[in-house]
Amino acid sequence: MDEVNKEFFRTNQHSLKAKLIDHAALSQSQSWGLSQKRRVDWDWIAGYGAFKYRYPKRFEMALWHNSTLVGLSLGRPTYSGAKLRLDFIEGNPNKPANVSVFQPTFIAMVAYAHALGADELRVMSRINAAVKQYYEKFGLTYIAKGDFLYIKL
Amino acid sequence: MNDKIKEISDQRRKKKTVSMEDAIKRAAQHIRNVGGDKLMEPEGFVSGGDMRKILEEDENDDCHEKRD
Repeated sequence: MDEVNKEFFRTNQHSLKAKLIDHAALSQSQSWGLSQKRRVDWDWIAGYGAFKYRYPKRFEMALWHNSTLVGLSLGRPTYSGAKLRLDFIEGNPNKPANVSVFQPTFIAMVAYAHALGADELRVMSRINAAVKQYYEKFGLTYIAKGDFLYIKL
Repeated sequence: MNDKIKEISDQRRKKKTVSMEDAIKRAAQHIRNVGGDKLMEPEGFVSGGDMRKILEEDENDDCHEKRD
């Protein structure tokens, strides 16, 4: 995450910090369930625990904006290691509108893919049309069969 | 055939010479190029499948990474 944080610093995003998912992040994520804007009922504590157990080579990121958790993401490489999947990403439903969760996650995934030698990113299960269109603006291509978007690196 | 092997070899060599810092800078540049840095994220931004399915899977199965 150090290299990713350096990029935030280099581009004057001093309030952003990428970290691994820890107790503090999971604890803050519990408050998301109180928001009317939340679209899922994910239990990050249980979900992260199970994911961590099953996928030791996982991608994970907790994104902080100052002292507020603004995003959590989880993914994993494919078996061959040629692709890196993003399985779950959620923004704090009450985060400031000008704080993006996907952009820093994209950068962190590129960094991890680089370390793995993967040449493709995949975003699984895009939830709805607005999110699909948002991803497509980043150059990702939707594949209906499999319900994912991908981009070659 | 030899040309093809050389091409693949060159591509791999080229990939390895790109540092992580460069890969990150290129990703950030890509975001700026497509205007992603100016996009507003959809409200309640989230994507992914059913998180509960992970919990329902057999905890004794240690071969999940082979299922892609």
